[in-house]
This record gives sequence, structure tokens and C-alpha cells, in this order.
Amino acid sequence: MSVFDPTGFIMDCESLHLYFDGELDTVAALAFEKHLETCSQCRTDLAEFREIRRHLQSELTRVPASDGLRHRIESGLEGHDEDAVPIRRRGWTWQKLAVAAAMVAMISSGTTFYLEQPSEESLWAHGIVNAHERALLAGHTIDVASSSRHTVKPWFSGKTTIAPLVADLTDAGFPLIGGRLDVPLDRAMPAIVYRAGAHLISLYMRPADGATAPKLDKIDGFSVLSWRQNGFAFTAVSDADGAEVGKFQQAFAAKAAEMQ
Amino acid sequence: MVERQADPSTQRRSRFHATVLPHLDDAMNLAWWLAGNRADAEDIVQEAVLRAFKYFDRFSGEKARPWLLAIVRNTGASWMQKNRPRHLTLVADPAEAEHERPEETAPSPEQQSEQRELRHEIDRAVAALPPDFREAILLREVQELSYKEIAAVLEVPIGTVMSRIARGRKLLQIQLKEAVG
Repeated sequence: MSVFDPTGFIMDCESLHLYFDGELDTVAALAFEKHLETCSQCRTDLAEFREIRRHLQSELTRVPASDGLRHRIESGLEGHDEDAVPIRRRGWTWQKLAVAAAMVAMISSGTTFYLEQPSEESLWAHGIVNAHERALLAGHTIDVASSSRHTVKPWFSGKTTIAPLVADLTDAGFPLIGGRLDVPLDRAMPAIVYRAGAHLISLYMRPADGATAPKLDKIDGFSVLSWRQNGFAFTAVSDADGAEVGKFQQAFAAKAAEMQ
Repeated sequence: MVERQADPSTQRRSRFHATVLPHLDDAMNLAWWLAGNRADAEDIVQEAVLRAFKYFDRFSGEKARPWLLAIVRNTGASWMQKNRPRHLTLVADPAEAEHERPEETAPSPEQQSEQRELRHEIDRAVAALPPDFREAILLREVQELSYKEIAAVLEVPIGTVMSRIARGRKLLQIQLKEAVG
């Protein structure tokens, strides 16, 4: 159909999206296909729209609900029935502070496009430091005291779904002290405790894919070292200094790689 | 397990679980693309799901997914109004998006970087859409809702849905042509 047939042109080309989205009935769809035979512009557009749809369905980032969110929702549902449903917000002060700080940074930098938020990793790191600190304060550093990984590892079975990776690092100077069950964010996870001289190192682990190089943070005066290997995201927390925790990480990573 | 005596509130909860919670990932994805970051998106989804639970008795067996998405979208709209300065237009942050990707099963490095580049372009093009067009496109192309369902989610006439989708698609077409060449 040509540009010189204004009504037909407009009617038909305008139906392209309806046709592409399956919104035309059979008769109208057939009529549109007739138009397609004669309109190269619509044919080109249709091919490109198909391509765009394919990209949107296969390449566009999809963000699924995290386990943490599921848990918060589940417990929100447990706690309340149809009347009065106050929203249970994530309640940690440091999280609110982090979000507030990010917002201040965003507003003061005048940017509207990138909004810095604490990443999931940083939420974990903070949660883990809090858990480690709580354990130290309560004098409750271990639930199962043993220097044998064959005792420590089985102790967790039935207490958490995470089967911890426990390594014997005595030779490297980091004897195993034991393990405890901690709840750094919203689920119980194993913390394996090693000694580094006069300090303790708590090593937390949760299932995660991939391998990443160790990254050192200082949070509340604690050295926090995170990395991924062997199907886990590990976070080591200690009041020992960063270099010492780094040595521990190297020894552990080497052992873990052997055990894989 | 022994069948327990039907406590109506337990029953209601398990019905909600079975019909609504399977769509949590879709809800999260929509919220993330509306809010542009995980923390806000999680707040929105959490609030929306509890709201859905509260109004679950009004849910009368239509499709649960568009029903939940409508609540997410409305919660998101009022949440953003309440919690954000009005002049800020938030869009998804492709840098954060990079973290969300499942690990690739190793094609060649060139293929990988091309693939990554393409994904970046797609994310960026969607992020750059005006919010009205973006939500219409997401509901259509990602959630695969019909115009009628989208009209219900967005509370606008079908004609408006039609034009937002058409214009959003045109914008993507132009953007991606420039980007991908």
C-alpha cells in the first residue's frame, strides 16, 4: 500500500503493533498480512520488533526475589492476619544509615542516573561483623569445641542446610577451635572459628557461584575479607589485622582448592 | 502428615502462598526496573505482598500474576512519590544490574565481551525509556501480559496502553539501532 492512500496507509501501518502483540482477531490479522505483503516499511519494523523482543526476553537483566526478601515476607505473613498489617521494615540501623548516606551522596553529587546502594555483599559483610561481635560480647564464640574437622563439620548437620567447608590449617599456624551457629542476617549459617595467635577468626560461608579474589574491608575496626570459591561465598571476620587475615585466607583457599 | 483441622486463617495463608507467592520473582523484577535498585525494590515488594495478603479476599480467581503486578506497580508509584524528591527520575542502574547476572557457561572471551556489551546496551536502552513507556514495555515484552491486562495494571484505557507500547518500542528501536548498529 502506498503513501498516496492516506487512510489505508495510516490504518494499516498503525495496526502493526496490534498485529505483533496478538491483539487482532483472525480476520483483522489476515487483512494485516495482506498489507504486510505490500508494505516494506512494516516488514522491516516487524523484523526489528521481533529482534527487540528476543533481546528483551533473553538479554535484559532479570532480578529475582532474594532469599532474604522471601523470608521477610514469609515472617510478615506468619505474624499478621487480615487486620492491621504493619510493614516489617528491615530494622538495622546501619542499613538505614547506609541508605541515607547513599541518598545524600546522590543528591549532593547531582546525579540522577546512578543511585549507589549498599550491595548485597556489603549487607552480608555488615551482618557478619555484627554476628561476630555479638558472639565475642556474649563470650559465646563456639558451640562445638574441637580441633578436628571431622567433629566440627558433622555437628552442623540438621542445624543448617549449609554443610560447611572445614579445613585443617594447623600447619599454617591457624588451628581449628570449633564452630558455632550464627544468624547474621535472616538465616542460620555456620561460622567456623580458627585461632590466629591471640586472635580469633570467624569464617562464615553461604552457597554462591563463581570464584572471586579476596576483598578486604574494615568494618567497625574488624578486618573483613570476602571471596568466593568451591561453591561458597566466604567471609572471614577477625580483630587480627588485615595482613594476618590475608595469610589465613591464602592458607584456607589453598586447602579448599585441594579438597574440591 | 496428618490433615489438620481447617483453621480459616491458616487456610487463607496457604491459599495465598499457593496462588500469589509463585509470582514473587516477577514482582521483584518489575519493582527493580521501576525503582532502579535492590533496596527500594525489596521494600516495595514486601509492602506490596503484605498489602496483597490484606486484600486477598477481594481477589476473585482472575489471574494472580497481573493482580499482584498491579499491586506492586501501585505500591511502587506511591512509594517513590513518598520517599523520593519529586524531581529525581530514577532509572535502573546498569552497573548494579551486572551483579545480578547468572554466571555464564564460558563461551570465548570475545563472545563474552560482545554478549556483555549487548546486554549493557539492552539494559541501558530500557533504563533510558520514560517511566510510563518503560513499565508498559516491561509488562508486555517481559511479563507478556495482554493489552487488557496491562490496562488494568496501569489503570489507563487500552488506547493509552497501545500508544505507550508503540512509542516505547519505537524509542528502543532507535536506541538499539544506534547502539548495536
